[in-house]
Amino acid sequence: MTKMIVTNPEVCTGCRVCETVCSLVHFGECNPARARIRVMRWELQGIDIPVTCLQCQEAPCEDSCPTHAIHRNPETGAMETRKELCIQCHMCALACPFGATLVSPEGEVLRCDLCGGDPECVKLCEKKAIQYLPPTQLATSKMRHAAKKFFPDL
Amino acid sequence: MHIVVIGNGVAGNSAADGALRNPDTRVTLIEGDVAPYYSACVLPDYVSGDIPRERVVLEDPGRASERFERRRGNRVSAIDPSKKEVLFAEGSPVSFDRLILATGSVSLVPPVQGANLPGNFTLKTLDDATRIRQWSFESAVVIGSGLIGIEAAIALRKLGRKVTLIEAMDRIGPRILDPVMAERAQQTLEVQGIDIGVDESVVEVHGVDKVETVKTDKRNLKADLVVWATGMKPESTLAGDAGITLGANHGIMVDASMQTSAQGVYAVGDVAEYPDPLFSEDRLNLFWYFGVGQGRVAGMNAAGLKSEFPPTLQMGTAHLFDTPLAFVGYTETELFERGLTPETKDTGNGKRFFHQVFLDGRLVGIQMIHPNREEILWRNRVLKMVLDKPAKPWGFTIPLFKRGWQGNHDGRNT
Repeated sequence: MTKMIVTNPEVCTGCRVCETVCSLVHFGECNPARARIRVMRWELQGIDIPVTCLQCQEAPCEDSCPTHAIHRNPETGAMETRKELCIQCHMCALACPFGATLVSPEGEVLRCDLCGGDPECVKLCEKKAIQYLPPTQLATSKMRHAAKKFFPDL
Repeated sequence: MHIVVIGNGVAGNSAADGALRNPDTRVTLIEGDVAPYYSACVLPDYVSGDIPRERVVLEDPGRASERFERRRGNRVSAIDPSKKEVLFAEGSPVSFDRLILATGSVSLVPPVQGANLPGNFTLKTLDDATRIRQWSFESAVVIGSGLIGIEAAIALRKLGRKVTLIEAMDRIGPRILDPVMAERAQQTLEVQGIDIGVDESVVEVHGVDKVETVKTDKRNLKADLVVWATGMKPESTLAGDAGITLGANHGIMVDASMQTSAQGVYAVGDVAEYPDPLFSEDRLNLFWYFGVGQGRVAGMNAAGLKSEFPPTLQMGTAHLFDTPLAFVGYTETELFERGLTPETKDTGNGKRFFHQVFLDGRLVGIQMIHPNREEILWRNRVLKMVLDKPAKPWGFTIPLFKRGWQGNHDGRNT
């Protein structure tokens, strides 16, 4: 099974390094408007939640694409867009239940491609709010996290 | 197991994909036309010359195998669900274990005098689009302002011709837009030079051996080309003749597994009439992603793999030249017509505009105009709709994600 990106909003500090490095890796500029991961912030409640593509199994973006430009990379499991086929109708952005398909200021569709299997945002996340785990480990890490709530001192 | 799919559209091809997921199946896809598998959604872009023909035609390299066969150019004359046979006008019948009907829809042209003159077109098939491209014209009239009508008008205007868009109702896009949004969309189109006539219906098309003028109840319009975008009709004749139950809109009635009233016969895409997510009635859903999703579900069920198609809302995007327009769910007008009392909330300033429709305090529809292509706001609103049930654009949520969004932040809910 391919690994997946897991976010843990409870430890996210909202530093937005992930956004910056994402645009830097893909476009060579530090411009969060071109990032494929975004941190949503609720100022009053003091909550930051990183949101990115979850690489759905039956992906609505793939279903809604009228030119079949979206396909799954068999190696990484990422939903990738073939630029030469995309007509920029943005149906995938509308169809995505999580809003994780973004559109750049030029209209280009941005979706997490897992950096070809080695996501840079994960490496730079100081608080481990973004992790890249195989699904088997994912359940354990969630369980561990939940169990920790019984003993806040751990 | 032998599964026969009738129809080479997106629903038919998606059904073949779904059926081939079971390695024990053999699939035959039958299509009366000789046209390749193409994307009907991008035809306006092809007409305007934004994309070449190669990009309209869709490839399917992964599916060529000994388990999959395509038969083109032989029209099905009848189906026999009891004998499990498909009959052709010429040639021997083909027997099946499961049948998937994906016959799609056809354009509906009202019986107006002169509507059969050369120069009258519809925009539904690749053939239509090619013929429009080959037709030389200076001024065009598009009749009907649904999504196809609007996109056709934009495509013809992009070619630099004079374009008039005629709509019989009081606003453009009457099924997808509410008056406040339709007004803005209309302004956007008029700025680009499209002449729009609402509350105007076509009486007659004049011409000697080709279209010359279009006569409406208000004026006479000079036109070399007329595009009829006045609606679609499901192509359900085969099913009707075979005694399969049809719905109120002449589509084929299906259940959640996309099975029709005949055992082992499935219907998908434009031709299928599927239950509405909010109201107890069936509706036709002439959208691309319905074809993809329903096709896959029917294919999997036919092949013996269990699957269900979740209740799904209508949804679409259009680019009014540089202005993206998107809509999801129900319109205020539609709810009013059902005798309900929806509430609306309009937000936005200048170019950017959102129109939300609430029913009993729940978001059930949204229409948006947003010039910056910065779709964070779209997604937040659509997202909210996913979480604020009952109306979900897609019928699933991922538990992990839901937990993250709904809090568990020690009472500090977002």
